[in-house]
Amino acid sequence: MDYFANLVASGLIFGSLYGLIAIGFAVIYKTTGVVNFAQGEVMMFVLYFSWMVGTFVAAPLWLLLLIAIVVGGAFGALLERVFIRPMIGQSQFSIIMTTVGVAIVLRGLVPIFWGVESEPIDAPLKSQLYEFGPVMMLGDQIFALALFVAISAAAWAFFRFSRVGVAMRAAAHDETAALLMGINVRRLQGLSWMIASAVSGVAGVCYALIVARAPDMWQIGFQAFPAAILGGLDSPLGSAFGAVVVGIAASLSEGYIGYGLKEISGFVIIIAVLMVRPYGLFGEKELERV
Amino acid sequence: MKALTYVALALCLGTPAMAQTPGVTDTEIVLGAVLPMSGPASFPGLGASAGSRLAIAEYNAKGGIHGRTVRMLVEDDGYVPSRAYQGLVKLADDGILALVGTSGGGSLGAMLPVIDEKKIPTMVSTSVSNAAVEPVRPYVFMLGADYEDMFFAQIKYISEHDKPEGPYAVIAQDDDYGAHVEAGVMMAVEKLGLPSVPPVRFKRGQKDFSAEILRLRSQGIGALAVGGVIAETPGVLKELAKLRMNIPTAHAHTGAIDMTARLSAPYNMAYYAADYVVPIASEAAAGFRDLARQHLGEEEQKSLNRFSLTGYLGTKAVLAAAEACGRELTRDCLNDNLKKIDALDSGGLSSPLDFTNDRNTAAREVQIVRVNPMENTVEPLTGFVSYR
Amino acid sequence: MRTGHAVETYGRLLALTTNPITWAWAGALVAALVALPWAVSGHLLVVSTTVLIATVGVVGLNVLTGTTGLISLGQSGFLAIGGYACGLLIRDLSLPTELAVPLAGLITGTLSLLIGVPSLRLKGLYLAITTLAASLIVIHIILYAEPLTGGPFGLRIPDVSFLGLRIADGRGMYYIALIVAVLTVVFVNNLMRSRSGRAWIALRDHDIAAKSMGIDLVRYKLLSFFVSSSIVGVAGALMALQLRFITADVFGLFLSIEALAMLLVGGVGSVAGAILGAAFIVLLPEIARGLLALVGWTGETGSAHVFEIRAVVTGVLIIVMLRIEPDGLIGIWRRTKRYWLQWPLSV
Repeated sequence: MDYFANLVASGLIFGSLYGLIAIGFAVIYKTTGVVNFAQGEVMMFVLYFSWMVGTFVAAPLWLLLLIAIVVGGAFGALLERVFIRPMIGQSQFSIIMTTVGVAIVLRGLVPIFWGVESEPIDAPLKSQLYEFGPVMMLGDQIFALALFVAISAAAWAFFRFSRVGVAMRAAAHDETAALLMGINVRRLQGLSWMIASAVSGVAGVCYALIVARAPDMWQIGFQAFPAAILGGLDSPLGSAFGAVVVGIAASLSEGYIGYGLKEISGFVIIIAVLMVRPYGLFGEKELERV
Repeated sequence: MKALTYVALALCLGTPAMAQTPGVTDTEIVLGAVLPMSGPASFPGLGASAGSRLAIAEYNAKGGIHGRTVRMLVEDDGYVPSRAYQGLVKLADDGILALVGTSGGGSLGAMLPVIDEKKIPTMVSTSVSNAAVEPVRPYVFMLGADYEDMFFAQIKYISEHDKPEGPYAVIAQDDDYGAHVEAGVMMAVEKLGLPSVPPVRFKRGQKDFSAEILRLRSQGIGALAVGGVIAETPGVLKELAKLRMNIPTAHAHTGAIDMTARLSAPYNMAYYAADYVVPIASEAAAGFRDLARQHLGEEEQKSLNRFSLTGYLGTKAVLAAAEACGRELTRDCLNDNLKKIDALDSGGLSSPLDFTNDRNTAAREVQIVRVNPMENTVEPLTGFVSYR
Repeated sequence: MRTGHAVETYGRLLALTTNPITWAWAGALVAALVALPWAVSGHLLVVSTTVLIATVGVVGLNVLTGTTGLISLGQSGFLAIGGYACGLLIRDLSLPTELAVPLAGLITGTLSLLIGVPSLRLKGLYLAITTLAASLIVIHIILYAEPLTGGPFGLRIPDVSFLGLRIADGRGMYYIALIVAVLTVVFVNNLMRSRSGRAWIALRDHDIAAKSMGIDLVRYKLLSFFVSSSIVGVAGALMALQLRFITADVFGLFLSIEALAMLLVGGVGSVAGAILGAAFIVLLPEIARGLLALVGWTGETGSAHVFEIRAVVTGVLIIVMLRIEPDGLIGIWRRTKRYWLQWPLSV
């Protein structure tokens, strides 16, 4: 039993990382209908930049987190303005491919500016051991998990209760009606990118804490896809939930089956789920008029 | 229209050197290297390239080789075999005397058909691969102990000094490098008659090992061999520390790099590593570091790492063999002289280089070190010993 | 602009083109391609062969994504199946290459139905990610099925011949790729004008309307999957023949992304666009290398970041391409053609 419990707990950790990225992913998709293939790379770039700023001011961990949020927001706004806004009106396919291009560029820029070495974050949090019954967890893992829960809750509250959040939901649902109601849809799209990138910044800090700052950080952005698909691409909270499921499933499949199934178990699950629910667990069915 | 463009491009590239030996003109010797210079595997590639350039700079500073300056052309394969193939064809087009950088096992496998077809003298030093010497070719040479030796050494040491109580385990990544580590460990464990559990494989690039280590804990293992590159070592140690499993661990040559140690520092676990070259930060490599400061630019100095040592030694051997040919430099002469090298001084970086054996491989002697990340020390436990 | 040319027989209606000038140009292009290996050798020949193989792959992808509108990220998985199938058929079953290549394609097509059937209900991005998932699972199986595929140690293909052309010979491999590419392009062009082709276009534009017009969605979707993946499988087989040594790394995910880039940059939905896109993306690293060499940055001049800069340039060029010409390279071609046809009265 404690084998199972530990596996689940471990799954939660990386599930949190995937979840933070998946939330960003879903926010952008929900508001603009764009799939941001560069989400992992954005996380990496924001982290590297924030790290640079943070080292300059000798920032402790909590300050680094704040810097990452600010840098993320700014960077997201920049990306949207420079790469996405001019592509309005183009096919979704083209916009997605543009994000792929952005991903390639960011991936190449990081080693150019900051080198190829991996750097750890020096925080005592990393080696503090906590025991919850049979389950063992390290301080940095709990930190990431806590942040994930906080941000998921914040996302839920934002979209449910705040004016801007409700406006975003409205714009996603029916853009024309939203425009008629006086909502500045273009500005909302920029805002969605800002939020997504800020959350990615947080994800980056958590990742750098748990693993390290390295030029291959973008690879976990990959697992955000099954997470978001599982929960429904247009549901940030669903995506967060999906990420947790993916993380736990990965852990369990490795613990009980093996064969390196961990990294692809998320993808196996979504095939199974999509066969039953073609729009993910919590996604909304897209209605088409003939 | 397309044809015209190609014709124009072909003419623009110019005709290759008029000399009969590719890569050799009256004034120049051109070497080639195919290395991962970008992407996730760029750490070894950049290091190897810098090391090779150092060897070349050392010779050029002495006036070149019989009046010829040495140059090196590098193609980036990004650790993808198809790009390695393409890169080597380009190098062969451009005209190289020999290939001194061969990237990983998969890339080497893709390049071997071209190497065999054009009989390009090749020094495999970036990563050890059995395919290079099975079968042995008179123009392919290798530098380095294979993973079986590296892990046999460590497992033997662990069984004699730590005497673990549980079975031995290996966790390795799922590419050819990891597969070789896995095979090496299992062979070693069998040869020494030690108990073991089935090997565990993880996807290359994976960062989270919690489930894998949990499973190994449930099997009650007493020692663990890790077949990762750099980030996997701290990843595994982290999980061991979390579960309070204070068992001896054996790592590949990358375990002794200071980056690996730095990443592992928070977890309070010392570990073993083995290599066929000394750690680059050690006393024994002080001469190498001085040489680098003398001859390399600032940016290249920053890319120096453990793989620079192997790149340096491999290229140095090739250049020494070329020098022994005098002005009449041909590929056959180069191959013959390489084969004759039986005690090339490596400056203390490894055991003296000897290619006269039946595998065309030098520096097969392994040194075990104990890495203490908390104090940032790398303590050699043995000299360079042969485990054949 | 041709006017006054009425079609008088069914034969002329069904023909790819009735314009003798078009045939002449097509013939000239093929002749130039046949003559290429005599003008060019070594590296450029390998690149040209890669362009031809990529063409086959992208033309295949176009059937599924461009024409039927089913976005697929599964390219790398299908290429892998085709490559490994071909390699295993040649190495272990000693099948002649002429049989192994099309058989590898058919095997890929059949296996693709395994993902085609579950995907019937999926739309847009959900479909794309499902194909991505399938691709990852395929590569994973190849990596772990060591007794069959050699696992991480890869698969080596012996030096065989295809219609008398040796695959180890640069020229021989080029001609093999050229023959397959020409056959594929002719085949797909004809297919697009057939009933299936029109059904696929209807599916893409509006599947519910198509269904109400009597087009069987299930049948045509699956047919699209089958045909597309078979062609991609053939491309994978060609890759295996060119490299003579394949591992799972050769078929990494970047191939799926690259294939979509080729499709988009060339112009979605058109075969000619697929060809142009394939050529562009394959040549892009060479273009980047050339551009940087102009500024004096080569792999030799010590700047360790040249290679990353090349990658960045590649990404930038893709973004710029998508920005300035959303219809892709074929859109540029068509606009230019129209301009000169109407000149001096062009707008």
